[in-house]
Amino acid sequence: MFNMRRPVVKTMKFTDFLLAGSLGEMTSFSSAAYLVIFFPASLILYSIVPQKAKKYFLLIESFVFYWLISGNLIIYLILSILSIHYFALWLDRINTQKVAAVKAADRENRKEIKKQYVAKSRRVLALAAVLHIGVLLVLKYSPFFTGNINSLFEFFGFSFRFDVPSYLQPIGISFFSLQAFSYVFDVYRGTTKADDNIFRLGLFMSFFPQIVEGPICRYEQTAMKLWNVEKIRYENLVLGLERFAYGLLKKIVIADRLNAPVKEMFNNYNEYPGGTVVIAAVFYTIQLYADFSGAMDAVMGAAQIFGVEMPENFRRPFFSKTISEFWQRWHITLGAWFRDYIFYPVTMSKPMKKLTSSARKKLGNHFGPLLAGSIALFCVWLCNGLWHGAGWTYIFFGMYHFVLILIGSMVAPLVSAVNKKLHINPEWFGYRLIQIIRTFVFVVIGELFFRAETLSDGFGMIKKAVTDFTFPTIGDFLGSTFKISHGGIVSLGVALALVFVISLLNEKGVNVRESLRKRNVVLRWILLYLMVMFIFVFGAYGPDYIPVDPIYANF
Amino acid sequence: MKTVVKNILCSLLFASLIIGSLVFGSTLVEPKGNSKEDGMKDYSAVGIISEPANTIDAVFIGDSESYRGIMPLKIWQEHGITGYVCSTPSQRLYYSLELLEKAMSHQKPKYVFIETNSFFREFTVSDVLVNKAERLVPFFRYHTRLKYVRFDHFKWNSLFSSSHYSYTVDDKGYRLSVKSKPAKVKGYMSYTDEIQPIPEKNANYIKRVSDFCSSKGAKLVFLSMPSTKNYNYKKHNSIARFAKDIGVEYIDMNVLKEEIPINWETDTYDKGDHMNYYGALKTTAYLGNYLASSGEFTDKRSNPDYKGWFDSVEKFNLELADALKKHEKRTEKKSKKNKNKAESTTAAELTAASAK
Repeated sequence: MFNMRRPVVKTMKFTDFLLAGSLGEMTSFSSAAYLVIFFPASLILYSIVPQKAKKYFLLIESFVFYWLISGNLIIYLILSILSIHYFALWLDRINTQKVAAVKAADRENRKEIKKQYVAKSRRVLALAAVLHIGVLLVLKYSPFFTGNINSLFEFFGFSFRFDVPSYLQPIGISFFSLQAFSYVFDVYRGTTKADDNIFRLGLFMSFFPQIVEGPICRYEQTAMKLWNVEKIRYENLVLGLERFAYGLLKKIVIADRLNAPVKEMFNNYNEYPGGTVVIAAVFYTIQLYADFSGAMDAVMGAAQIFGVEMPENFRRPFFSKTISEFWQRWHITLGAWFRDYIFYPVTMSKPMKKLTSSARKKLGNHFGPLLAGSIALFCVWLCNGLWHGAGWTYIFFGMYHFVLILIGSMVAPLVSAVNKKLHINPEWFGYRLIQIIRTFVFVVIGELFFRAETLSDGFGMIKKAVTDFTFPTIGDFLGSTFKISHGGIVSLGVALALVFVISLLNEKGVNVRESLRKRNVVLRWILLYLMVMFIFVFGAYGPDYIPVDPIYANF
Repeated sequence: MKTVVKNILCSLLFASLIIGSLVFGSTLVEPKGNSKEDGMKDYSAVGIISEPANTIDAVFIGDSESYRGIMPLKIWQEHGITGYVCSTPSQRLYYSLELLEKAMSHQKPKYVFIETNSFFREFTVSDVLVNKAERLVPFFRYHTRLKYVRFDHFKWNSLFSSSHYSYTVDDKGYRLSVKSKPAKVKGYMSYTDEIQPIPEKNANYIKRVSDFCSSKGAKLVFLSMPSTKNYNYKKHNSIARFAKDIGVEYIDMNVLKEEIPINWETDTYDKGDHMNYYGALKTTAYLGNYLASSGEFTDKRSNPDYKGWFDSVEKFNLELADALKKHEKRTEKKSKKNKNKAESTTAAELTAASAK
């Protein structure tokens, strides 16, 4: 007898209207569902809606988008918006009460009253942090931590084991949680006024082009711009489409093309000579850049069509001369978040200030402040590693950069002294080129660990690259093993050359987009046409390719 | 006003240029023949388009389960009934429908068998959209073939020459494997009254396949090939009930253990996932008897129009002999290697023992 309680066809329930969560592929801006249905439909409907209702419509579109990709997990986003709205209003009220109480109090008591209110605000902020960062910790890290605790129990011979939990993680939670916390923190320190309009706050948190992979915006940067959106202007449409197409080019022609060889080389590195490991690490670094910066171009382009300028997340990172500079050019909004909400609060805390002043006396003006700075830097890079994922490879990735940046800061005076002594001009092209290459090598090593399945795989790959450094022949390299043909290499080369030239021009101070904007409209349409055709012709799509899932959407 | 008109004109020109380029590109890259060398995608499954019109009695669609387990040439040899396997690896149901439509444009089969493994293979809206785009604009499916385009392809005659689909597939869609890798059968088809629901998107496509077959006057049959990896009783229950709901016959070879006595030690080539040649002989024999007993087919073996089928059988026999020979050699080499290994291990053990 069949079980009559369950239907044979998995039907949609009432709550699943609009195919809730069934368009998960739209997390990738290059998916057909997003490119052909959602994005054009959202633009057309947005254009039809009256001006006054546009902002509300954008909010609805954003919620529908999140509903389509995440289904019931939208509850996390809604709760996040609701909670920060009320936390911010609470903090605002405490601030107002503080001002009134201080005004009414005697001069001697003012300091004490201020202190009481600051403590109260701090408690509210801590509660907001526990809620937002706590949810993130539970969903993202509890399986990792319990798994490691169980391993420790096993190591020490205890029979007790925790159940390793498994949670569905809402898409983009790592991005919108940081955005939410930054808003509450800014209200706490008085740099932002609490917004009494929950819809405006909701749009700031949920704007659909941005919610999957960022950039991580501050309230002051985008909330008002999004709330004051205007009708779609022709100029914005063309500029936005150009940027969007450039992002697609990076994603489909470069990142997706490299997907198969990167997978093959990382999964079976033991079967190939060490030179392949080097190629794998370089390919992955390029793929990660093309995937993430391509997604950012698409976000910027989509936002520009709505007339909204988003903060840039990349500034040609591969032209960096130091690792520290690299992180000021790569995932800029994440770096800025860690700087403003971890590095500065830690270095400016009372114990750290004390430590700095005593260390300055003993170690001098350079190394003294470095001690407190390095503690803050450690916190930043531990968090940075963990933010990318719950795993030892990510923690190692964070610590690797911490060590490199710390060494860089420590030896900076020595390097400049040596340069002076040897009469080396740091601005000399050759010197800068060596610095850029050195930084690239460090970055590639870091990304190798970032991509490796386990830490021992990462070290295994490094060992292989060092002890068995021979390159595969071109014949071995191309063809079916790495699923990349001669034609594929050529199209990859052309696309990389294009991205390089555009980046170089921008680096030299030529604003490519601005100079394009000034050109004849016909020429711009022709360029857009060429870019679209380039993607159609050289893109890695169709039955022979598996596109790479948006890498940063999983963080 | 002038600017607005200019902008609209530019946008229209842009769209027409893109569409025009894609249409032109499609004529350049779309295969002009249907063989592997011509670049035809899934040439084996699509090979049915070059079979003489209205000569195929039964069409089989689905994934690798069917192209590994159904041998149309054996059905021909035994019963004089013609069949063709239009199956592709990991076939999704929207593609099953496309292949079926392609097959039925030239053929009027009385039976259509759909292998049910794809009933549970999920797909996204984007997958369907991409498939539709590929059907509408072949450039999207064949854009990688641009590397084969030569200067003379741009000539008028070459661009607009009609396609010649004349390549016939001798295996009729079957893919031979004589290797054996035993399967673990613990828990395989253990009885339960639980079900594994079929996703709604999939169910809709199955209904579309069913409607399409009805419109063409073909009888649709759900067919589950034996597979320890892909089938269980939950799936059986759900397919059986769905088949009953929409009025389709269902053959589950996983429960027909007496009629189809699969030996899981010898009849699978990849640990129970697919049938090998020996397993396919058993499943095909059952299908042949099923079709023959329906009484709807005449034996065409004496019909001279079908002479080509005997040629295909001959070619298949050569292919089989070659595969068996190679397999025998491989097995011999392997056993020799194992023997040497065992001998060297024993020698090492003896040395170690004497050293002690």
